[in-house]
Amino acid sequence: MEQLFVILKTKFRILRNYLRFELNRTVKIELGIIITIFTLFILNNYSQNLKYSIPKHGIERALSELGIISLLLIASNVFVFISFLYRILSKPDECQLNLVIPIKPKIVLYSLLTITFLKTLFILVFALLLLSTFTLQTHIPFSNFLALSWFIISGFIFASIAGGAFLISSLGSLIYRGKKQIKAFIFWLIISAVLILSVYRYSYFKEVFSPDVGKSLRGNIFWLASIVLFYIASKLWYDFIEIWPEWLARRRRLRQSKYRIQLNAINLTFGFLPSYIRPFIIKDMKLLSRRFRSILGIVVMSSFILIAINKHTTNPRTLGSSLVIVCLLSFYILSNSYFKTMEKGHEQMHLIKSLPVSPLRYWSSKFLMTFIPMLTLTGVAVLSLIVFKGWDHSLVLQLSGVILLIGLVLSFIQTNFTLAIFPFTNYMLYFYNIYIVVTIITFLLFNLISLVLIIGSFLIMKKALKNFQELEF
Amino acid sequence: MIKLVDLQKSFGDIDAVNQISLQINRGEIFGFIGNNGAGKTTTIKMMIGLLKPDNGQIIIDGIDVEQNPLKVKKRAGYAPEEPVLYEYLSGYEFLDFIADVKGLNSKQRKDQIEELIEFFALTEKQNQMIKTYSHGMRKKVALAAAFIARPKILLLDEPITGLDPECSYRTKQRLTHLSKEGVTIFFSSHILEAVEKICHRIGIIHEGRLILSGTMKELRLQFHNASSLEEIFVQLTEKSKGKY
Repeated sequence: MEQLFVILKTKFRILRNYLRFELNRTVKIELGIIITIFTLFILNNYSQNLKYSIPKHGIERALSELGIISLLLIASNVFVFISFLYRILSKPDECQLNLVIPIKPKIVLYSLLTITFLKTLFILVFALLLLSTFTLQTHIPFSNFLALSWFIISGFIFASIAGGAFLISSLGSLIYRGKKQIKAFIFWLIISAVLILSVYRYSYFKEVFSPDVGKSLRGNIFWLASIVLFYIASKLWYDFIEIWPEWLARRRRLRQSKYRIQLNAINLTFGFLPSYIRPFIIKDMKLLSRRFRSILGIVVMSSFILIAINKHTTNPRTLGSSLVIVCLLSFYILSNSYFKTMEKGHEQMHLIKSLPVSPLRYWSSKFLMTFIPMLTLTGVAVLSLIVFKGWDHSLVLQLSGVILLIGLVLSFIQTNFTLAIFPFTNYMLYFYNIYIVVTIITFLLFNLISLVLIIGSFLIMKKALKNFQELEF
Repeated sequence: MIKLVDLQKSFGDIDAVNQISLQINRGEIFGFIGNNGAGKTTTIKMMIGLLKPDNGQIIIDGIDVEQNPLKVKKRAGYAPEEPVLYEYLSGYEFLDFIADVKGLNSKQRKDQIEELIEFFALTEKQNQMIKTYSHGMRKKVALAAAFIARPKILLLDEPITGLDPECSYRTKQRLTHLSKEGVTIFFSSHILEAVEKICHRIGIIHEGRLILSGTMKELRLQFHNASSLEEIFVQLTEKSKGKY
């Protein structure tokens, strides 16, 4: 326990120093604005609710509205836990799980879990504040208690997902160790089956708290069993973490042979570009193709487009407009993550700045790089329309032209904003995301505000070029 | 070739570089030495345009760095102390990127990269991701990137720190050879034996100020008791403690 407190104390010191360093005047003002708006919203709700109360038959309706908040609460918590899990499984070195000091990895893990749990408490505070307004409306004092129960539920969901992840890594450990493989594999299969069934069972909330005692008991025993097995799987996982560096090095060596093919394919595809932007596009495309998340992003977004096409009627107008929306949203989501991965923050911009690269040259390459996902998604949409829907070529061309034109505008705005606020400061990203979303919506509604926003982005382009010029390292 | 005039840079209350003036001629190897935090890296960063001086001027090959940073970057090769590379590119791909940015055609890129890869003994690892490289190998890639496109000026921050003995020896040989071909080299280092051996002139920086510069012969005349650059450096910095 002492070691755990030492780590927690150090983590909090790091956080405190980080906040002192990062919380400059602008951030404080923006946080102040956000908190003020939120407080006004809560107070407004309170004052409205004090004026009247919902009659008894309205209580059920009010309670159903709580479902949205519960969903948000559970989703936020699960997201926080999944992010934590992803981090420790994919980057254990960064999480300091392979410390060279005499602290067991599981102690470090507990400290990380504690901190993650504390983060979710913040979410709980917001939820409780929101739910308290419903308490006033419905006169049910247990609304707030509901938040706590949903909080616990999200913990269970996390446990299930974490259990699955631990299992996968423990399997890796078993395979790598190569000892008593068959017995270990059977044991692993049993654990996996129980955990997966637990999650499946859990999806039926009502059955767990069912008035039928037998069903409820079985459900809860299942849950208890899954928690125990989760504990055993996590023990195996600690074993895996110890051999992680060696396993990772072995994996890396096995993957080398793929890169030659990538090198040639990307060089061939983009080698025709002018030398002004070619090196950046080739470099970024290579980096993109080697990041699993980016490829997954393209696959997922392309799937959304295919689903949108196949689910809709054959009415071109209906399908066309929804396709535009899906393409643009997919593009927005993709390009948001693409840009951030290309120059990994501070360090690699340092490299670019030491090379003979003008601000406009860098801007041009980033603009094209932001637009390439749009081309990919449009290509998927076009092919699907021709192959699955048998659309006329001219109609398809018109539609793809519209999507690409809007995509060009969005790429322009995205590039300008991202370069203008570099090096990335998280609070500004919220503002620029809102700007982009408002532009998309007003553009699709053919509102003149979108024109103003697009013109505004020219000014931001000027700022972006100036920012690049003046960046100091 | 390189001229620093009253160069000054502060970070808050700290004067990282304070009134440094220097002139380095074409084909000269200038060694820049100092304690940790003395201002060596800050000086080099200002020379390559990564930092803007608060006061003063930097003229490289007749070009003012502040007025025309791109022209200077085209003519200069820079290697930072901590190599900054793209982890998910191979060594070959990274050098290809740098060479392409610097405007070499495909044949020139191929020839120069292959030569540098062989020179730095990176042939076996050239197609492996930089993520898998050791620190020394990353340092070699960063150095190779500085040498690409055969720049007229080299600005190197601790170039031989972290290199294996064989590579360190060959790098020093290469720098000597390049200077004979007219390349001006400005480098900082903590390895004083190397500085003593290959540099034509040496500058010692302490707490942001250039406290001494000259050839090794001139320095020995001033410090006639000192048998090595190391002794000169220690004596000088001891004397200068708290003086500025």
